Amino acid sequence: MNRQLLRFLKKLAILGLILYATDFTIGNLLEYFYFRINPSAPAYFTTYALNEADEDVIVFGSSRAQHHYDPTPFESSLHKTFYNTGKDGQGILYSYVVLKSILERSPKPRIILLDLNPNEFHSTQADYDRLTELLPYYHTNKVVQEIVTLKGPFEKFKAHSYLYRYNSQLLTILMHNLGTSGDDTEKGYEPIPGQVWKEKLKDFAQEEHIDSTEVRLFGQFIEEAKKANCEVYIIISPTYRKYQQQTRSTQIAQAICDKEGVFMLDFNQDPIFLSNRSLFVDPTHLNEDGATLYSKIISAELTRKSATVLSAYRAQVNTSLTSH
Amino acid sequence: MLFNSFLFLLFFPSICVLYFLLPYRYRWILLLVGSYYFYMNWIPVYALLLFLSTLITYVCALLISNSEDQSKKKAYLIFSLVSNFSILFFFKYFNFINTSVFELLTQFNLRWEVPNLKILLPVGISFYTFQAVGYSIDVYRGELKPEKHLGIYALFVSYFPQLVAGPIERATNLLPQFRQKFDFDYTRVVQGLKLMLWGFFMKLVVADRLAIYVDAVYNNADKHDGLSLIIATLFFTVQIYGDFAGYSYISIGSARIMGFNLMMNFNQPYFSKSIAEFWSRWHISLSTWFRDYVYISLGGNRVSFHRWQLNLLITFLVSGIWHGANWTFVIWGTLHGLFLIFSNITKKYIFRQDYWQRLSNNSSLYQGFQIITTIILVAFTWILFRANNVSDAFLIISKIFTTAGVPFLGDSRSYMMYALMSIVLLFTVEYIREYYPNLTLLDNESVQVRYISYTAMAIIIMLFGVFDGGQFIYFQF
Repeated sequence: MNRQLLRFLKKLAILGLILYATDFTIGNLLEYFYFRINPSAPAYFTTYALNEADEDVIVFGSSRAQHHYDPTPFESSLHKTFYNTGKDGQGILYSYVVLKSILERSPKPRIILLDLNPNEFHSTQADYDRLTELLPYYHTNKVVQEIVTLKGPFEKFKAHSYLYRYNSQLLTILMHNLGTSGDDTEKGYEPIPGQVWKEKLKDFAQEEHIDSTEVRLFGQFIEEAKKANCEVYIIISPTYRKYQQQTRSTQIAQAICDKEGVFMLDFNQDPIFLSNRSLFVDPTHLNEDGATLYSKIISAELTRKSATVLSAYRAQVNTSLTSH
Repeated sequence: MLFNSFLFLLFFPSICVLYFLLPYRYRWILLLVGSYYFYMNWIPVYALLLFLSTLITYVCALLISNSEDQSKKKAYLIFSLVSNFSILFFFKYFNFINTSVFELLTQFNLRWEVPNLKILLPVGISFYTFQAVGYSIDVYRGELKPEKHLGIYALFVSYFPQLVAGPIERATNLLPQFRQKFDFDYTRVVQGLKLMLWGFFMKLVVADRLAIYVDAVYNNADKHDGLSLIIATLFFTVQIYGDFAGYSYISIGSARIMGFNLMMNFNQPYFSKSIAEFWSRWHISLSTWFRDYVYISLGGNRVSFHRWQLNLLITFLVSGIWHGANWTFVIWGTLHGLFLIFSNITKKYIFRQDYWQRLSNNSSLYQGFQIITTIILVAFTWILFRANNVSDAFLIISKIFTTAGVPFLGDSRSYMMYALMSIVLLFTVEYIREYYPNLTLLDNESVQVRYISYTAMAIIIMLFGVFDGGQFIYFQF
């Protein structure tokens, strides 16, 4: 073999070893500190949701879930513990991972609320790219492995690197280990106080390319939750946009809910909110006042529906006892 | 195929291994097939356009060379230019011209509507067209003998490292290299890998990080105030450099590994002390292409002063149009031309004394002033380059001068820190290269320093690189 090539291969091997050792060492250090960040750090909410959440009522979804579901009305009207796993920039892919992780533990939640966007299944590669946030859990969570690989065919190879799993996390880890306070949240809920949307109501029409993977995972989300005997509610929270017709995502979600016998509550064009822009910070997010009002409405609605479900269940049990 | 894709990380080493394993006489086949495969990863059918352009320029060059009659030579050249530019025009400019004509006629209450074409722009069409056209002109001018081997010539037009975004190579430099026998050369391979490593840093750590902010602000310009728009413009100034120079370094590095020397495309452009100097350091392969084939053809500066200025303006106008089918690029090119004309006029009529030259040579404070002024002017023109349309560009300019507002700091608290860190790192290295060229880390004499530098660079890329950043800005041209 060419002597220059041999020399190159030898040095490449040495460099490869150095890189592997560095990747392993620094990656493990980052992992150690990542799982010790203070509880107000946004990354901590993901860790809590995936590894610890065991409340009775759990909310899933995107930033709309995170900013719209205030725990207080739910806890006081349903008399159950509550946690909001909603996450900025995420959607059904993330929600599915969190649900499956929670259902693998005991006790399981009793009520599950999944907040859908009106255009939930209209997705782009960017939606998949945001799954990067789950990479720190890649080697410990099989569902994360399954979903993160949807990002691209090579993701499973990239995830072998410890450093890659903590890409863009160094400052977060440093700041939240050194006592920097994070987001002002309460049981996962992050209110947006003091901001009001000032623009007029506008028509919104978006061409929708439906992502079949997301539709499939939405169906599986409901199936898994039902299999675990959870009460499931699919909710579309209010927007400050005028939709001339129901979106395709909503139609698809409705059809799946009907098939699965799951309640779907559509507040997207609710007149209380459409007529009051002071409840919003932007066309898709409620501010703190809006979220409080919305949470009261939803929790009251759930109390009614939950009572109906409970009485139907009791009637079913009584019938079955009588027949025996 | 993108350089910053995982597929390229599989493709490139495989090509290199096969390249060095194959006997010399078969290597062009491997590179040609590899180059077409590389190109067909976007829209496969557009490889036919690439081949068509190759075939036209190949045949025309042979006809030009074989013809004794000067008028016939000229006719073949014109055929080659017209047919190549027609393809470019059809795919790149048809919709732009069509829309512009429609809007112009509407101003006069005339309605003549031709539907726009629903086609995607073939990636890199401006680059390979210019490279192929440059070859035709070189043969016509007698500066080069035509390549008789169609395969070798096709490889010259399609060579994958520089196919989609340059450097736009000259046939006189690249063609002969395809007939050279390159053995595996340790020094050259390591040099190439270092260039690639630096290119990946510029693209993944700098450009794609800054792009997140720039896109967020420029795509919602009406919702942002002056300070955010200034930050976004400065970020874009660095982003476009990181993106395009990063691509060029990867391109030059990957070619060098195989033995080929491509021309350097950037030379610390943001340390230029004038717009004229900026254009001798920025996208050098395009600037020199326009100099050799447009500016000099118009007479260059060997004409009257007024005609010289007109030649400059025409050259930069054409350069603007080359960059994109949008009035923003036309204004961008024109502005650069006007800056140069202004500079020439002031030199001729106002700053004629040697005093200014001496000051520029001796005062580092004055040099700093010149560098900052040049950056501000260049950054100002980047507003037009980046804005989605002319009205957006004017909105951004007016907001910059009229509203300050509270600056948007990105989606997360750490974003701005990563962005600033990447800029500081880039410009520290650029500064050292400009003023202390002997002080290098990746080429340091000490093996320990070199290995620590490689490792540090790899860690920085893995920890701070943006791996979902997408394609290079210049692919759209």
